[in-house]
Parts: sequence; C-alpha cells; structure tokens
Amino acid sequence: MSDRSAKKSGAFGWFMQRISGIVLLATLIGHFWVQHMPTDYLADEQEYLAIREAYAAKNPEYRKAVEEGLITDPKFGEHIITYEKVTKRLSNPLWKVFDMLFLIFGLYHGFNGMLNIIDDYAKNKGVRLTLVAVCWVLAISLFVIGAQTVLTASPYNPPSFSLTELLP
Amino acid sequence: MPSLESPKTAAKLPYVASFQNAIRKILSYNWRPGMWAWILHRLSGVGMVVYLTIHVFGLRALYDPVKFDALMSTYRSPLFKIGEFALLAIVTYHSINGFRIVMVDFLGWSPKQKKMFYATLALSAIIILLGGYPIIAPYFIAPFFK
Repeated sequence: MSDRSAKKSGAFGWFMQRISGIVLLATLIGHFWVQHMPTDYLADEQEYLAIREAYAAKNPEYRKAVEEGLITDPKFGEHIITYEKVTKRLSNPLWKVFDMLFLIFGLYHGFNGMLNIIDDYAKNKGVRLTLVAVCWVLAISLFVIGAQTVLTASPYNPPSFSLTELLP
Repeated sequence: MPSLESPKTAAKLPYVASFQNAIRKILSYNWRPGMWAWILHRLSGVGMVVYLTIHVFGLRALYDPVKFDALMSTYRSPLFKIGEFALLAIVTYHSINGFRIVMVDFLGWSPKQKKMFYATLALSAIIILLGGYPIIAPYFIAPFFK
C-alpha cells in the first residue's frame, strides 16, 4: 500500500499487538489454572456429586436432566467445571474484572491478528471490505455476549416457593 | 557470481495457478526455522479465534444451571478432551512464541531468534505434557489402572 500515510503505517497496531499479548500471557495462565487444572475452582468427584444432589433437590428440571443422562456422572479422578463453582468465583468482583480484561484483550488481540491476515492475503477491495466488516461485527457481538455472561453471572438462588403452588 | 544458466537468474515461465504448481511452489520455499515459527504462529492464531468465537457463544448458558452443567457434561467426552488437549498445545505454542517475538522486537534479540525458537519448542513440549496430563488422565490413562 504505497498511498498509506505515516499515520496509517500500522505501527500502533503492531505495538498494541505486543502489549495485548503480554497482558494475555498473564490472564491466560490465570484462566487455564482455574478452569482446566485440578484446583479448588473445579469440583472433584465427591463435590460434583454433592452439588448435583443439592441442585436436583432445589430444581426439578435439574433432576430431570440428571435422570436423562444430560448431566453425566464423574469419572475417576476428574475435576469438573460446574455452575456452582464458576458463579462462586465470579461473585468476587475482582474475578469479574479479571474475566472482562481477558475478554477485551483476547478479542482485541485475536481480531487485530485477523485484520493483519486479511491485509496480507485479500487483494480484492470488495473482498477486503467484506472480511473486515465480518471481523468487526463478530468482535462486537462477542464482546456484548461475553460481557453479559460475565457481568450477570450470579449464584443459583431459586425462589423458596413455586408460583403454581399459590394458585387456587 | 551466479551464471546466466543458474535457475535462480534464468528467465522464469509465467506462473500457472494449479494444485500441482501450488504444492511445487510451497515445497520450493526455503523452510527455515523462522518460517516454521511464523506459519505455526499464524495457524494457531486463526485456530484460537475460531475457538474463542465458539467458546463465548457457548458460555451464554451460564445464566441457567441446567443448561450450563449439561453443556459441561457434553464437553466431558473423550473427543472434547482431545480437543482440550489440542487447545492447550495451540495456546502454549502461540504464547511462548509470542513472547519470543516480543523479545526479538523489543530487546533486539534477533540474532538469537533461531536458538530461541528451539527453546520455544522445548518449553512448549514440557508445558503441554505437564498441563495435558490432568486433562487426559481421567479419560485415557486412569481406566487402565482401575
């Protein structure tokens, strides 16, 4: 691109790709540690069975899902991601900030990388415009969906009575 | 000085796009470590964007314990566990190679880039094996010792 001015040299994107990469390295280690490694942020076999039983007692739909085999039995030595443990972690606002940072930097770094790749291979102007537009729409949608998931995540607290019980 | 007959300086026929020619062209590249580092970085990056998209869409289930725990049960199948292991491999390589790029760019360590690429591969292998064990073990290793 010979018509590019110094302002559009891509130096800012190049620099920010490295800065966001360094931030992601730190957040990624934290994320992998709590979501994929056998720590207290996951449920072990006994905890999983206890959580399942407690939720099934509170929620008939949960019981039905367990009985139908949609919520499966634990394997020997397995550590499992559960609604209970994830929402417990996210009830700490610092973890909400952590997950939001991970989401924002992850999306920025990922889609900035995609724009670089489009820049390298897509020569046709129309194709370029389409691909760049798809990237932006996808990135903004994922940000909205992800932010909603993280910010609204809260511990399960069903009403102690059923509305149908109050009907005559 | 290369002679005129040298294939590097001889006039080339125009490139005709075809599958065989594309393969021939790719094989004619000088596949040095830096090129492997670059192509693996790029492919793993695209892979992670695809994963991130599916991941964020899937996690909308976090508003409902029934939907979320059922989704996690789906992810706890042998096929998805292999996927999780592959994800660890991709993420680990991309992170460590990314760190290598940062050091080359910011510290001026480009003369050391080749050695650092081999170190990247070695360190990635260690982390993938150590971090991959707890992911794989309950599905593919523990059943043999029960």
